[in-house]
Amino acid sequence: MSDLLIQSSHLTKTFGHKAALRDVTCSIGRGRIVGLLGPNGSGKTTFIKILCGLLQPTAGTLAVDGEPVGLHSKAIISYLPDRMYFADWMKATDLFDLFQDFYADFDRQKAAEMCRSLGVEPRDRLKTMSKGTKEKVQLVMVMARKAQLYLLDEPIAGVDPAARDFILNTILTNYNEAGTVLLSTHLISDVERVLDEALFLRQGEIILHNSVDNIRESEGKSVDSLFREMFRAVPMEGGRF
Amino acid sequence: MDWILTDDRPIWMQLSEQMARRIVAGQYAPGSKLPSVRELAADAGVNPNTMQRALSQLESDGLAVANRTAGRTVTEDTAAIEAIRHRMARQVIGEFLSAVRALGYTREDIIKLLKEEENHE
Amino acid sequence: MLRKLLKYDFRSVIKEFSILWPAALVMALVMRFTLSMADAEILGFDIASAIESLVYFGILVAMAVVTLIFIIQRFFRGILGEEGYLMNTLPVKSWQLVLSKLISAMVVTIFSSLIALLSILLLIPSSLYDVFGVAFQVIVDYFSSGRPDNALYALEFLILMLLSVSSSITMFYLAMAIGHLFGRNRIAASVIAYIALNAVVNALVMVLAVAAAILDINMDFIAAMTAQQALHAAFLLMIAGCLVLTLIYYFAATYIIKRHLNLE
Repeated sequence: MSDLLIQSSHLTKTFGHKAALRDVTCSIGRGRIVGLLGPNGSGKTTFIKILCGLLQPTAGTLAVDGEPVGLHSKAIISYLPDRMYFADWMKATDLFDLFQDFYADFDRQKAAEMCRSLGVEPRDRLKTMSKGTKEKVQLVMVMARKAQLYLLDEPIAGVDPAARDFILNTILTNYNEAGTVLLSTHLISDVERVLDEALFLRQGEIILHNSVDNIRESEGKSVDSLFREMFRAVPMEGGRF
Repeated sequence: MDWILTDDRPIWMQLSEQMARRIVAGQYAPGSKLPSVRELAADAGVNPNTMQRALSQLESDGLAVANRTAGRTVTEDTAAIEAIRHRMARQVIGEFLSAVRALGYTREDIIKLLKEEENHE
Repeated sequence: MLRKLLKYDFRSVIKEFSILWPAALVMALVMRFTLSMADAEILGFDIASAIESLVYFGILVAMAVVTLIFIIQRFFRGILGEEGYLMNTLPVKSWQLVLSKLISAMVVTIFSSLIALLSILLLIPSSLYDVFGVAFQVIVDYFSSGRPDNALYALEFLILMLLSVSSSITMFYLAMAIGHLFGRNRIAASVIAYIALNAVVNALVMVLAVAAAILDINMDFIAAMTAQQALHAAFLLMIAGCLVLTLIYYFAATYIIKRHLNLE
């Protein structure tokens, strides 16, 4: 078991001529809740997808728990994508079966309990559920695992503030404390109080990586205010694309 | 009591202060068991690491004691609690005095004002 | 892990075909009934048989189309589409993902063919039932002729059928995997890749034939063969060809998914 859960070195990803990630070097430890913060199109989703093996980096290296992305990393990562991933024919119980078969750390009983408390009937076909309910099911699948690394891509985008609190609370009360949560969002004020660390991305580059406490102490302002200041400056720079 | 978190300072400091206030106000009695980090964190809607740090601060301030078996309890040292309570009260009074003096009140005016306020209640 | 993957691929097969397969058989039975009524009373024989042929044809086409779409979509959506977010993050190897899809696709093809065959048999008018007896007798005679080659031909034919199915399916897979390498218009790219693959394979066969002619390879050994040997040789050659193609397509598709998966 490596001390550092994520080690990324000069990680770069380009789509055609457009760089989605440039030279990203960072390391993230265990037992942390880390915010991957940046405006839309800053490379948050790209970074997460490379971590879970859905995108292949153009250059650079990446290790999860000391190993390159592969069977081991996939077994310890619990990934919440920014979209629905079910097959049409599935019920939530089919997903339970699937997770139970493939993930040793999946707690079926916990998943069933979470569904109950969220008012989701696991025997309904997913196709017939509302978008919000489907999202709840995916959140349940992800949080019912005792994973080493939770990768949550925009878990609170597109939902109302009450649902946001609810989702954050679900994450806070269910994640494995020995593991790390990496969650991407552009809604910083909502997540700031749950974060240990903030990682700012701008146009595919890391421009800040520090603990939230340090940022508040040294800047005398919230991460959210700092974020707003930093990204307000973007249009002034210009020229770089 | 709700948690009030402002933007300007680290969250753990604010949590620690608010916990201390709860203890000196008797909301958590001396020697009583404190809720777990996880419970408190969920209640405040913060990260457990942050709450952990806040509670460690309480320990080094002498308000809480970590037990190997029973989790964390409020200290039984009532004198220590009283001392901190006193310090907090003095701090509030100090802030009050400087605010009222800034309005041009003298020491005598202030005492008179406080007495009037007491009668109102 | 492969067995677990197959479990879910077969679940999707059952959900997709649990209605279609019985429906095809029921429809054949219904048609059989109405046609025999029409046959006897209202319509002339020619019209009835024309309708029957149309129905046979319709069932065949429908079954083939649904099966083909299913096979393509299970791969395209299930690995390269949104469902790929689930499947490609499971702790399994890419070759297992593809193999599971391939096995379930082959089973679907075999079952759909059998059901299509059965529905056609059901449509045969009772006046022609003697045909079954004759056909059965031919088959019995064939295997009980005392010539061991006959059983071997049947086996070779069966293997060749299976491998030609697998090479067709894996060719679709490879075409979709190649299409996936393109950043946009992946569907169009897949179609073009499929056409190109076909062209390449045809060209290769042609080149081999021409090369054999140009190099003037001594074909005397063929003349020296008995008829049985020649037939076996032909079967084995085709089996080898289909096997090689299946392996190339399968490993190439797996390689692309392992090394160049980019779900955007």
